[in-house]
Amino acid sequence: MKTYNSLSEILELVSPHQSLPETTIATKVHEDRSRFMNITLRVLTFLGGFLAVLFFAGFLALIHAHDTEGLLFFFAVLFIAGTLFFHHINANPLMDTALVSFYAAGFVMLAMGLDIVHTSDNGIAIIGATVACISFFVTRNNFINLCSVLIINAAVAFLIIDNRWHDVDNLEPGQNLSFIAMISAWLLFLMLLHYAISFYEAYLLTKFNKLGYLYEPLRTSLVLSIVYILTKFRFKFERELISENYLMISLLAITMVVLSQVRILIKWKTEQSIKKILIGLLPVILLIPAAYSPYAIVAFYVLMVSAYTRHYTGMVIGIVCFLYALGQYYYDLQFTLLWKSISMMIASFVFLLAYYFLHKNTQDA
Amino acid sequence: MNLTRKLIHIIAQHFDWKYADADQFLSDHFFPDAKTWQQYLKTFLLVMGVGFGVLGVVYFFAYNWNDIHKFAKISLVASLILVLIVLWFLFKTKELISNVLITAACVMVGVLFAVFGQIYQTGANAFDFFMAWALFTTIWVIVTDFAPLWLIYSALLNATYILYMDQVVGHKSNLETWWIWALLNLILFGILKTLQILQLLKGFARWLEWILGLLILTLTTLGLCVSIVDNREQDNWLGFYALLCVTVYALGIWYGILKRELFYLGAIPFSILMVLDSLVIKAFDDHFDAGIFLILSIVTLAGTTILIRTLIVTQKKWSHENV
Repeated sequence: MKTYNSLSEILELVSPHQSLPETTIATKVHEDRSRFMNITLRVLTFLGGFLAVLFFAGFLALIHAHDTEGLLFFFAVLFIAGTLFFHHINANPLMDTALVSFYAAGFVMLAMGLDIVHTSDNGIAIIGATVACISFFVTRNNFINLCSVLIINAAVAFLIIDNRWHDVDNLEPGQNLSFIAMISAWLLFLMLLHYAISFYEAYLLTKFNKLGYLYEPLRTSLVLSIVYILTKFRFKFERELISENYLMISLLAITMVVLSQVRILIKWKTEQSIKKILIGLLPVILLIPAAYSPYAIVAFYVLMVSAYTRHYTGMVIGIVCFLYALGQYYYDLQFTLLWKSISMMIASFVFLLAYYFLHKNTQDA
Repeated sequence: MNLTRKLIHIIAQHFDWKYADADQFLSDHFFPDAKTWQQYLKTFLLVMGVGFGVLGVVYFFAYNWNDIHKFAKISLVASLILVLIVLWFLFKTKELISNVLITAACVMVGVLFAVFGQIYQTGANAFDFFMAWALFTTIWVIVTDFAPLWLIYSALLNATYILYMDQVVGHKSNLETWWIWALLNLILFGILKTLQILQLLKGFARWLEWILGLLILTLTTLGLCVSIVDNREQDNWLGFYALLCVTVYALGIWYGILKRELFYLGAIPFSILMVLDSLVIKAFDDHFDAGIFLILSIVTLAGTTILIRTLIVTQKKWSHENV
């Protein structure tokens, strides 16, 4: 992170020819610092909210709330709408824990109420996603927006993965392809949205200034959503870690890595074209052997984009996913440990060779 | 003044910025430049290269190829360790490379003992395996003073202890097991922190501090909650355990206030809130019904909100003092 002597210096960089309201900006910065929810506060908000909802769900179960759909619907509407309304009139970060708890509890009761009136699982997922979608556009609370995206993603994941495809091992080839295509389409949407948020942040600063508040909740929730979809998909094919079923998703992930690298490289005006192409292609070439394991490639994509955009939470998630993918490779029964050992050593040699060439290239420059 | 993302977003709200200018500003002053990005890439390639190499060796010996003579197996691993140490000396001036190499060498020591265990059938998860691994890498860990290596070393010490309690003492789920486990980690934390304060240690990174701190808090919280809910009043260790917890909490809060670390000031009260929830369950043990869950929900919600309010006020106060 670059450091400057004063705010004036930064404002001078932003606009050398036009003066900016320094006092107003300084006041806003000071106000924001005192309300800033650092990682400790955010984690506490979530943990506290999550535990409170868990206890509340236990309460509902023990009072046999599933016998009284009217009561459930009433409280569901009260909690969800009440949360949105309360935040609208009093946007205080102190209330975030309570708001997140009530919001999540509202969805729990909504799902229970819909279940009592014999709504199908698909219906519950669609209604839940719709309500979350409306909440997303209505409120400006980071936590509620984050929860809404996660709920929408969980609903779509249910509709695609859990819904009709109970016996994925015995699907016809055509059905298998449809299943993979649907997952890929949704994953592509999530990854494109994440790509747009990450690399076109300037649009949120300028043309869509009013949507700037979406940046923070969207980038974390999209990373979590991508990981969730892949994990769910991975457990559906639990016998096969490496399979041609994953090829479409891997190709998609490699495409996103290429797009991201291209986007990063076009910014470097002073670097030579050949050098830019070599540096850009390097990760792509190294990832091709992992074509049958999309988890590792997506983990790399998340890690790379988060490192570039200074999203430290994303970096941690990327590292954890990468380590998980490597750990799972050990337990895959399709290959012997000897073959896995040889493939690891070849990969090691390639990575170290790439390091050597990059090091030599940057030293020569 | 740091150029943070939040500051850039605030400036954008008060300025009619053109997209091209904003995009260029982010690329020039906020996102990594070519040199920094190449450094990231080099670090990534080096860590991946050495990491995959080490994993390849681990998988090779896990295969337990019977055709290789036992002497050859041990010689192979020992030679690898020797090669890594020689490379470490050669690259001593390059900090990142030497740290990664010594980390790989430390992992290879584990592989050596695992191969020994394979040949002489001493068991795959024997506590003495982890103990020997930790013991024989101690000097390298201290000399290198590299945070990820300290994390691996802590994991080895913890694995040694828990396996010892399981395999030798025979009861790993008793209260005293957790008490001693928390105490051992507290001693390790205390030693590392003291050395850091005396400027004899640089590798005790903030993230490592948080991980160890969270582990200690988790053990103390779990221990207290279980002892409260499971009616452990007659347990002789409960007094010592309660004293340990109070000490941990007091030290943590004091350190958090001293260093203005919100992590300790947030995690410890949250731990106390969990213990309070256990006390509520215990208080209504004879009348355990739906109402208790509602009370627990309200207590947790109110407690977390009060905690966050206190932390925000504290943060604001520190922010004013800094200005």
